[in-house]
Amino acid sequence: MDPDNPDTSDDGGFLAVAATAATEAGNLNNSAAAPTDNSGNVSPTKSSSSPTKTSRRNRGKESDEESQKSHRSKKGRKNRNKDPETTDYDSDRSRRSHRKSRNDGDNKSVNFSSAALTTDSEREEVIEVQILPQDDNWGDNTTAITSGTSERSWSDLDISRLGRPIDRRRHGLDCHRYFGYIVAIGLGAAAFFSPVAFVIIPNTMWTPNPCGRPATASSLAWLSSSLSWPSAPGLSLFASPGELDYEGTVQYAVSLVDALLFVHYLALILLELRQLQPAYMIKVVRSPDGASKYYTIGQLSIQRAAIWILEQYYRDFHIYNPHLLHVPTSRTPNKANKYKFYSVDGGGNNESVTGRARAVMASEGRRKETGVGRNDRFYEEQEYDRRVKKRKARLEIATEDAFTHIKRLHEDRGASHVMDPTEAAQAIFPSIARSLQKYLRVTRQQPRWNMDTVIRHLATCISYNMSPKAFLEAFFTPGPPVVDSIRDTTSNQTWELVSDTLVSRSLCEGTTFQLRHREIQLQVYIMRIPHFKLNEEAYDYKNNRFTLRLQSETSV
Amino acid sequence: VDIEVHRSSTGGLGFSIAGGIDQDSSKNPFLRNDKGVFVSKIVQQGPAELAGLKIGDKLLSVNGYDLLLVTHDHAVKLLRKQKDQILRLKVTRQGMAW
Repeated sequence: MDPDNPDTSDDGGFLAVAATAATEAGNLNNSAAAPTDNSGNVSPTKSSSSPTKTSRRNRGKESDEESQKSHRSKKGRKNRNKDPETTDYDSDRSRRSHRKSRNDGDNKSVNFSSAALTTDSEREEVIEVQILPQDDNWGDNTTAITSGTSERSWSDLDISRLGRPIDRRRHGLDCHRYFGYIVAIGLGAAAFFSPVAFVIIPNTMWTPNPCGRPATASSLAWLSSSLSWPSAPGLSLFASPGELDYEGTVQYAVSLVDALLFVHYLALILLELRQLQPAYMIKVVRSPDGASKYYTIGQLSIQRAAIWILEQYYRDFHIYNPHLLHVPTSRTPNKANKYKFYSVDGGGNNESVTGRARAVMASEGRRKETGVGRNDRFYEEQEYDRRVKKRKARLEIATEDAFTHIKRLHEDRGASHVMDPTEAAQAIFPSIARSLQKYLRVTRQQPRWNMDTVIRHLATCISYNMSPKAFLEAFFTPGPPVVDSIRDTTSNQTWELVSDTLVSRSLCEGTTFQLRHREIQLQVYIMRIPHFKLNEEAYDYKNNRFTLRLQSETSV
Repeated sequence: VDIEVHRSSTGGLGFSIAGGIDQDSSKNPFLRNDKGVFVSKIVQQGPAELAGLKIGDKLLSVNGYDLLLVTHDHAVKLLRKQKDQILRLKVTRQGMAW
């Protein structure tokens, strides 16, 4: 970790210098503008996060609750019901997300709630809040634990309640994104017009003009100033108006321009080349459904890596369907345990079975029950797959019939009756509506599609003469999460970056951090690509001959 | 040099051959590095056994067709072609010296 530290500090310094030097040039993309925000705002977020944390700690009511919670988690949790604790958990989660969304510097959709400055107690306190509901459920003796549902499952109501307070805050903070652009444009314009001022102002303001060669000197002054290093030659011009060593200042300006060019190249190397060469392998795991992908990435800081990962995430991962996690366990209700106990020693008096026999039978009964439960999920998943395939096949058949119907109509009528694609779509729609609806219901996509979106999609397919399979593709393979975010009204997706090391450090092997967005958590693990040692071997194809030796035996 | 004559009844001659010029002669169990065609298996009570053919006999010719420099497939073809006739085989055996 230590060799990385001087690297990143140099990196930061050079980035700041290079960024200020290159703002007006405009040939770097907006990621160059981001460093000005990042390097400028890393310290403010650090300083702002600590005051908010301390202020939170100092607030009386919340500290009481936290101490109470810590008490509860450490000591016994005998008498707690289920309802108040779920609401506490929700309110605490929303409070936590409020705190985190308050300290954002760069609204390029990543919130840096760096826990680097947190002490151990604070980290524990964050972790404690998460574990609490699970712990408290264990201590309750009277709840019956059923097999399908997990204790950490939230109802849809909670999720919608969580989602809304985060979304509502986004409208007023959009201007933060454009602030960087505005500053850069302003600086660039000022730097561009400053040499003009340098030429005009001395000529108009000072009557004694000792300049011998105004033309070349002004062109050089323009060059240096347009690259935004205006201070030194300008100051020398203004400072000593009497004795003007024009040659000296011009040389000085030229050397400064050379230095600027060198800094440009260095910035190019540091920003682009160092990041493009793959050095680390990153594994991204999405939490609620376990989808994972591997990427290679160069040497970046954690913040930049987070942004890059989010871009790849929106392209590569399948869309996250929260309803798919709760596949119905079994259609039939819970069968009662059919293992009845009969008293063996019947005779005249139905005396009960002895203790040991009862225990044996009970254990056998339990074993039978768990035997059924062990394969339960496997059979259910098989059943589910079969149902999906059946409905998919029926849907395909229905759409193929519908499309051939259209084609036949089109060929029959010819030019006499030209149907509008939307009319054709509406005519076709009832015949595929039922099977489509069944398929959507099985794959739990029906909140995403309603009738007019389906008809619109169908009309586009028909108007471009697409095949039925192309039309169905939208339902079979829902695209990456970009589709979902396009459909949402808010184009700002707020993600949180959670890490236990300083987030402006560069990537290091073995570290891990997490990106969070509502209920999706992306855990990122960093591994190093092994160093390849390539041995070259000459292959002599001329001498590489083979003889075939057979032994066979044939009966005659 | 022996001459064996035997007749086939059902279509099979009742023995298996191994060897040929395209085979690996270093693995020859009977005579090392001999590229000839040898008898490697004999069916019990088959026509070959009745005629006195033994394992390890090297076939020299069949009905006038030379078997000394033939490939394995060619030897098989020749032997199979002559199946429903009387075959005259010239064989040589180790230890036979006349």
